[in-house]
Amino acid sequence: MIVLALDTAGPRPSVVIRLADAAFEEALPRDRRASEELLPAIRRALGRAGIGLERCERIAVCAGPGSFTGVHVGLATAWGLSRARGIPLEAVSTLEALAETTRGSGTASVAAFLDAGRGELVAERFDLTGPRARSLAPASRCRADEASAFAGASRVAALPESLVAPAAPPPPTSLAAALAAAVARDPGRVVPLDRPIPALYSRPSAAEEKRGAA
Amino acid sequence: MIVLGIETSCDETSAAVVDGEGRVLSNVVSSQMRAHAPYGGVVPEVAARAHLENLPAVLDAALERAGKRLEDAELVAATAGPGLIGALLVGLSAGRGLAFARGLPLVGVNHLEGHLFSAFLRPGGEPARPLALPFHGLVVSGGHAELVRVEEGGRIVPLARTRDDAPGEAFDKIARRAGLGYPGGPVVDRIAQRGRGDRFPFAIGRSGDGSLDFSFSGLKTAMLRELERRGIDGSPLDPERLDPELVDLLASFQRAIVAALLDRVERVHAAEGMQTLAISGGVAANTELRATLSAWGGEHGVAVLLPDRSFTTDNAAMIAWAGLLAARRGAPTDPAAAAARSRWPLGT
Amino acid sequence: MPDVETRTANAAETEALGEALAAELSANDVVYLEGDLGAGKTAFARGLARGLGASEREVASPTFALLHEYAGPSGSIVLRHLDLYRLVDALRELEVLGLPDSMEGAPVCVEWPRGALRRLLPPTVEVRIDTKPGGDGRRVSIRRAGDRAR
Repeated sequence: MIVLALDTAGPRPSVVIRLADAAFEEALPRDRRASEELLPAIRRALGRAGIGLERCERIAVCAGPGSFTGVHVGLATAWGLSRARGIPLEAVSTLEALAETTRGSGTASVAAFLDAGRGELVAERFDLTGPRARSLAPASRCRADEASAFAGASRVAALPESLVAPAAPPPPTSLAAALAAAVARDPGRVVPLDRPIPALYSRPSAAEEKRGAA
Repeated sequence: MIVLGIETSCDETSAAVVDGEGRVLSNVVSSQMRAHAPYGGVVPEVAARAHLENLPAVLDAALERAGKRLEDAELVAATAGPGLIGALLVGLSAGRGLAFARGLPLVGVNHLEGHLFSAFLRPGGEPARPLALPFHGLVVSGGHAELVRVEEGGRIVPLARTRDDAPGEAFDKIARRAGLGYPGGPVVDRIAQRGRGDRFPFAIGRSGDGSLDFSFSGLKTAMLRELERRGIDGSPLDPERLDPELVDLLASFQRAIVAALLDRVERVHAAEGMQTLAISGGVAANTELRATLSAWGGEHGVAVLLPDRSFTTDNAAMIAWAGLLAARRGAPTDPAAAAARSRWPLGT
Repeated sequence: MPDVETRTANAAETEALGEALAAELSANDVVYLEGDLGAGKTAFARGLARGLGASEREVASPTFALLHEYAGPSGSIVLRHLDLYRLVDALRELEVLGLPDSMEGAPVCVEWPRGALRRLLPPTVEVRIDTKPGGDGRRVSIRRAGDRAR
């Protein structure tokens, strides 16, 4: 399955086109310029892969948590690409993509950590025994010094690696590359393109909290 | 020619379909959908996340009401600025994705140009009014006050802009300090209609360097002082039961804002002669502004154009139309070229 | 940078204070501008912009857009100008601004800093502008944050 994967949410954003036998990656700048560079990066990756966008069978995007601007730019762009060509879209948690980077190391369970700002981490544990990482419990927040306790016996994946102490091993691939591989291996649930674009935040919005309380 | 317009510069999510003659085939705005949506699919919040949630439904509704499919679009026009960057990026990114995937041109549109040309759009699926170049435009809103000349060929020449506060913002801040709620423009407009605008003369702000630029912060400060002297501190007041002196004070404040705008219009007319003046932006709904400028136009042989009410607040139809005009003038149309910007004075 | 406690007679003098402060700022500085409506916060910001190389003609109250970015002659951002006056639910709505990542690379000045902002984007400089009743004059104090005990 030919997959276009976008990560503009994580700290090392990139775009990947994955073919059956090769993957083509283009790195993106970290800051808001990612929004300006995203389309040129997609063009370059498609060019190197020698295909047009319409050959992509699935588009996958990191839907958060992560940089708010990055999450919004990635999701909105991916939605536009999907909606325009009817290409199925998967919106996947950035933490899940991070967990996927440890695949192939024989790990059964992974605790993935990302920076949530304000001295906190956002963390989630995954079971890696199936073809796709499966969340063991909803993502939650913790302090850096609580990370080991949270991970327990699970292998630790963190981005950046120094978020936890001792530092985690550097992920062997980017989030986008891990996401592309996971989706190609076992396509997951697709986002209906006529419904609200589902971003994953580590804090609910004010409206969501009100709805929750109602 | 079918143009798809997308607008997410501030609080509203909007999508629209406009054709090559400026017929507005659809113009969908999230706040209106919210009023009717039984399933709460549209979220009222100052947040880019609201645009992400609203855009699919708003875009689908715009296509459906226009009787078009996405495949029919030949140009995508998305607001690139000015506005809140985080919000702009949602509509602009979605537009970029749509355009790139279909091999379409995309124009990043100046929201103020949308207002500027909105006076030429007609409701009900009628073609747009011919542009009558050269014309002058006064765009007055919550965040902006700009006076420009639009020349043959469509070049926009800036003549005056605000140095500090925009009139809509001045209305909002004064109304809030007077305990009258938000937004301030409409409530002050209603109150002023029964007040005497000549009772408290306020000085018209000048930029101080000989330019025509507007300055409303001095007026705001003077008004704040008047409120303070009368012990008005923001405690809620009933607009229907105000002290007559406060009514006159508010009427005088509004009069001063209108007078400042009229002053620049008159000076430009004296210097270069106006044939047509198009007034737009949220504050263009103000009754006294419309009446004063229309009367002035009548006396001086200047045709004063006001947009139809459906195009005065933020909406994507005006963006689609302005985008089409910009594309015809040679604006860049590579989807990767448009960049979001928080400030974008007209003519720059 | 020594603390400043001074008076200004009009908006032009308030601007000049802003321009003087600009010379002391680095890209990591966060300047809180506190004062009532009409105190002269935007005037001060205009001075900051001029001092940092942006055209002060670009500076206007960001009440509506929440954030204005001003570019210098080379086109890169030299000052960000935040205004939280409109935000009701400050903490969550601040998220749309992508703080603090989106503030990197240039100093930022903030009008109406709400309590929640202090955790996300703490001030390095605090400017307070107080009006004197009935007059044009202002009392202005400028302090490096963390000097408040003095």
